[in-house]
Amino acid sequence: MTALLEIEHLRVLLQSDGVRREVVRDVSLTISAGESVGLVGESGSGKSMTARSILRLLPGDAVISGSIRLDGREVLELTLSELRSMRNSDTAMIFQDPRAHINPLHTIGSFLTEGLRVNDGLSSRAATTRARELLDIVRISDPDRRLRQYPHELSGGMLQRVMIAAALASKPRLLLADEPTTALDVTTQAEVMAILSELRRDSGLAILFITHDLELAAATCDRTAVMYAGSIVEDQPSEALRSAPRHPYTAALLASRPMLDAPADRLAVIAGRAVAAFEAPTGCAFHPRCHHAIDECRVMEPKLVTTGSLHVACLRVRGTNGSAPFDHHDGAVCDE
Amino acid sequence: MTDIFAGRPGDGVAAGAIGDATHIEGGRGRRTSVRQKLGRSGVAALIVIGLLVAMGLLAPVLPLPDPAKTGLADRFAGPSGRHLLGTDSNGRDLLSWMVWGARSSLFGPLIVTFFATVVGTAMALFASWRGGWVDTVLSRVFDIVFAFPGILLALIAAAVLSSGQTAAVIALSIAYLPYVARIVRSAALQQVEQPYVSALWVQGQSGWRIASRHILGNLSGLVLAQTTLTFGYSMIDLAALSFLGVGASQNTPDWGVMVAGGQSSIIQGHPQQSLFGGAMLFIAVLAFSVLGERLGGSTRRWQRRAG
Amino acid sequence: MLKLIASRLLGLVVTLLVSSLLVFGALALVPGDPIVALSGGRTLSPVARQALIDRYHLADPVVVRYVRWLGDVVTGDLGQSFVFKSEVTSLIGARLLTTVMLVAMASVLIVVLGVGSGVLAGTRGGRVDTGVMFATVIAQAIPSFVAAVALVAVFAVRLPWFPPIGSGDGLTDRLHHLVLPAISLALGQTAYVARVSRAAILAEFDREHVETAFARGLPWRTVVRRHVLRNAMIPIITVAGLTIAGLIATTVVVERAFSLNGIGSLLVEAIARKDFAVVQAVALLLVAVFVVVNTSVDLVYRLIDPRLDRKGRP
Repeated sequence: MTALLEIEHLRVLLQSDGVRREVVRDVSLTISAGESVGLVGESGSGKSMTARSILRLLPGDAVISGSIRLDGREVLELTLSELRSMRNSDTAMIFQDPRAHINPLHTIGSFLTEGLRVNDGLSSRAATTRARELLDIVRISDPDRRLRQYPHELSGGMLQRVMIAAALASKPRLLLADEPTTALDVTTQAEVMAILSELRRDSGLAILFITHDLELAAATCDRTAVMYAGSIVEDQPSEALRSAPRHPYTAALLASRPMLDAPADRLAVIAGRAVAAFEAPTGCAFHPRCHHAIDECRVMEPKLVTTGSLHVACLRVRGTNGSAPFDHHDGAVCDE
Repeated sequence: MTDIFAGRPGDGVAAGAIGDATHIEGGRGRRTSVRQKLGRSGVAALIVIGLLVAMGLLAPVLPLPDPAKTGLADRFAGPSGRHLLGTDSNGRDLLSWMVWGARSSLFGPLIVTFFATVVGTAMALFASWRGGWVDTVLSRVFDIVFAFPGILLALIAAAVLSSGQTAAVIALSIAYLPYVARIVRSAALQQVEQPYVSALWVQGQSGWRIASRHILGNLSGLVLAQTTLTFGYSMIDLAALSFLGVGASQNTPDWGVMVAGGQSSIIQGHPQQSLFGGAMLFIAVLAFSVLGERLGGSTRRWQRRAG
Repeated sequence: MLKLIASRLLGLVVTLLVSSLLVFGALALVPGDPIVALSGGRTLSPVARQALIDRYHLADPVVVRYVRWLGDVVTGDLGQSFVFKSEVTSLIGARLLTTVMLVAMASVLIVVLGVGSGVLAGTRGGRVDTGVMFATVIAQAIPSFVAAVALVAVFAVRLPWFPPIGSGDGLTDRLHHLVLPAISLALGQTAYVARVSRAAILAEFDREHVETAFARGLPWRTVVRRHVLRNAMIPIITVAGLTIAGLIATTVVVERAFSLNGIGSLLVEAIARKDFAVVQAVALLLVAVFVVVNTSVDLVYRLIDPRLDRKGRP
């Protein structure tokens, strides 16, 4: 499969009150055409910033280094008009809170047709026709009525579907979904996920699915990447990640999920709290919370090492970060 | 290193220098040093205010000519050894008036601010704590007072009680109550929602104690900032009343009176009296505004809905 | 929607009633014999005395007096000025134009210059922003009468461009006379509105729906026009409207500074001369205008924001 998106050693710093803070430390990720990749992390892990960096949707005083290539073209070097063109026709992004992300003062119809009319130069009539098609794709009935309504008249779930519809307007090849279902109830969540997978099947759309829900990502995406403190710590095909997670953090996340079918009196938790990149200690960012940490973990920062389709950044995984052959540990899955 | 967020204007370029006008900060217990929080402009403002206050307090002991002493031969004199800044239309020393004027021009606002802040904050805390009909009634009362612009209220008071600083001060104190109360009330309402309040309540602390100690403690920065701004605004209003002849009497050294008294002289080509008086007012108000904003106050005077 | 208008109107009427009560009550509290107050202390013939008593219902208990006074006001009888020896209504009528023109000119300044510079500062940033912020801090610290005095000193005395006092005759002459007063009146408020506009614009830039617009590749100009400005206009217009309402109070000061024969100066003179009928009427008028403008702004704000349902709840 050809690589549609290639991110290499992305690093992002944000400024506030004159202080520069690293929010993305080192992210390398590849998405092929038609592939869906889940990007999982807790708040502060830098997953949202990574997604926004792809579109260069960061504050004016942010600092980015590294490389982001879409179809071989370096996004960070695009001119403004090239960037706009990319945002319009190659990529699309949907967000977590549709009510906040859709202008409440414009009708749904206006929202859907805006890009088509302004960027693609479609006539009002043509744009409206397309808008009706889009509403149909996301299974919203009575399109003529909906097009005339205002956002506050629609439910959250419906608004999210409208947002998806709008994202599809210019037939993008890559969809960035920033926690699209987090703000929705479980039933609506399922509906939205169903629409997204249908889209993938029908149009070969590649999706970067950002979420804090590891289970959801692993269940719906081809591959899952886990982020911690601004870096990717593990990146594997979802099946493999679920059955054999290599990084202690991934394993801990999976273990902490309450099971319906197994008895438990206490939930397994990961001691401590998740840190952002700029709060990370020296050495491995996860080491203070890791059961498998050894002395070297406090000092050396593990790099992402690739073995086939597995990418993992942990000093203790065999054969990686070769500086010292530690013990026989095959990775994280341990009897804890 | 690249990036542009599609040309969005840089954030905080100017806001840092003078202070952003509309968001309410203050009182969240942040441990930034005073100097850091105030910034250069805030410190400068504080110094200016200090000087003005000192001027007012020390006026009696400073080696200045008697401001009441007229000398009709000496009118509109330029700067000289005897009159450092010259004289006014009645031969009175301008510098003297500027220095002595600090007393009248700063004292009135002090009373107004004190009263409006203390009573306003107390009422706001009470209303937000009790909620229900108490809150509604108080809000309605404030709405009514809001219907009267401060100066108008003062003018009516002047008509009833006859002119003078006292009437003006009383009227303005009442007029400014709702402004302070409104802002404190909406902040207090937010505080009351917080879990720590319920926690304290459950522990058995009395409503009075929670409100006065804990809630007020968290709002102290806000109240302080608002007080500073109120001082500036009441100074303008009181000076305006003096200018209209309804506040301080014509012979009291007062900046507003100075401006009024010098009006007729401007046309004759002697603007000093009015301009020096005006300059003092300007400097004082500027200092309080800058300080108030640095402390995080809101210049949202007309916020009639609480939120 | 009708429900909203009705409830606001009700609030308006209540506020007006209570305000009128306060205005009436304040003046009823004036120490001394009301007849003396109303006649300026002159000795009156028994006929004239009785006429006064009838006109102002002085024989009735206070509450009845209030109600009848209110009735008079509503039917257009605002009493008589003993100082000017004419009906208060005609007094006000003659002076109304000056005040209205003054407020109108100041309002134009506030809206055009205030909103304009605020929006510019918010959208352009950089040096324009710094400049506007600096200018507004300075301008807000200048009381209107100080501005008046300074403007006269420079533009009327030093440079004979404008007349220093008076209201003039005829439309263009009046406008010419009112330029300096309008600037004095508008200066502080223009600065305030500029800051609020700027803040509203900046706040809007931070909103998520603006991020969506940029994420779709819309050009900067389009985003600013359709999403930033459009949305920020609601609070900006509201504040501008309320600010204009607040001009009512400051006209009093400016009219005095420029010796304009408007309603504000009428009020001040009446207070000085203890002409209570005039004070009562003018004070009531000013409060009423203030309350009506405020209520209208509030209504308009609620009507143009589609988010707020017609009952006024978001």
